Amino acid sequence: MSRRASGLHAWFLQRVSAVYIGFFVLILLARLWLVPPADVDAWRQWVASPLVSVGFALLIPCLALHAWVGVRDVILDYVHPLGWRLLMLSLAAFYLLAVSAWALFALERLS
Amino acid sequence: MHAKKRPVFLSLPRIHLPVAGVASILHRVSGVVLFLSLSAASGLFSLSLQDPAGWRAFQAVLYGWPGRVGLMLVLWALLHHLFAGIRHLLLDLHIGLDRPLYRYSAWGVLIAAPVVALWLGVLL
Repeated sequence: MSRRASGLHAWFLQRVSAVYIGFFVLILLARLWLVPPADVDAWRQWVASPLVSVGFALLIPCLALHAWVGVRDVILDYVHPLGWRLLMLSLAAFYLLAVSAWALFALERLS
Repeated sequence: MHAKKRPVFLSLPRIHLPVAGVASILHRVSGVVLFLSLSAASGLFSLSLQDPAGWRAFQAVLYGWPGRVGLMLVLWALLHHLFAGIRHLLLDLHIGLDRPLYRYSAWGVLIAAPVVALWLGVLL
């Protein structure tokens, strides 16, 4: 991952994922504002509809990737001792994997 | 080489970070805030989809005042990151690189993010 997500690769991945996340978040906010879900069934039905569930399923890895590139840059900028650096990078990676799995399981349970 | 001749000027009160620099450092700060909020976001997303009890618990969190304050903070971070990100993508395309627009767009990001966050926080 680190080789693929460095330099120009990372720069490019960061921007492609950013565009997707930006569009998705804007659509999500607009929809929640214009048509607030009335109850849990309406909300579940909306999230489970094909387009939206695929949208979420794509959002989760995009977010994890985008957050990984960003947080890795922050850690490399401010944490210099090698041991601490490795510890922080590992914690960030585990955190992102755990959070992504959590959200994906919530999505998976709907189907 | 010229290290000895270089002026070292680190009087902090006299260094003024330009407005684009403020927008830039806040892009980073908001990114870290968003990173840290991902666990809450995943948890709340999962809770809201669980069952009617989970949905009620989700709403109780969102409409309680700690949840509201947290939501406002995350909304600010999200919007600042989004607006500053759009500004960055435009700069990558060489749009708005020159001085007056470069600074106005940074001011625009700094002001729009909290304003829209407050507005959305009241609406949602």
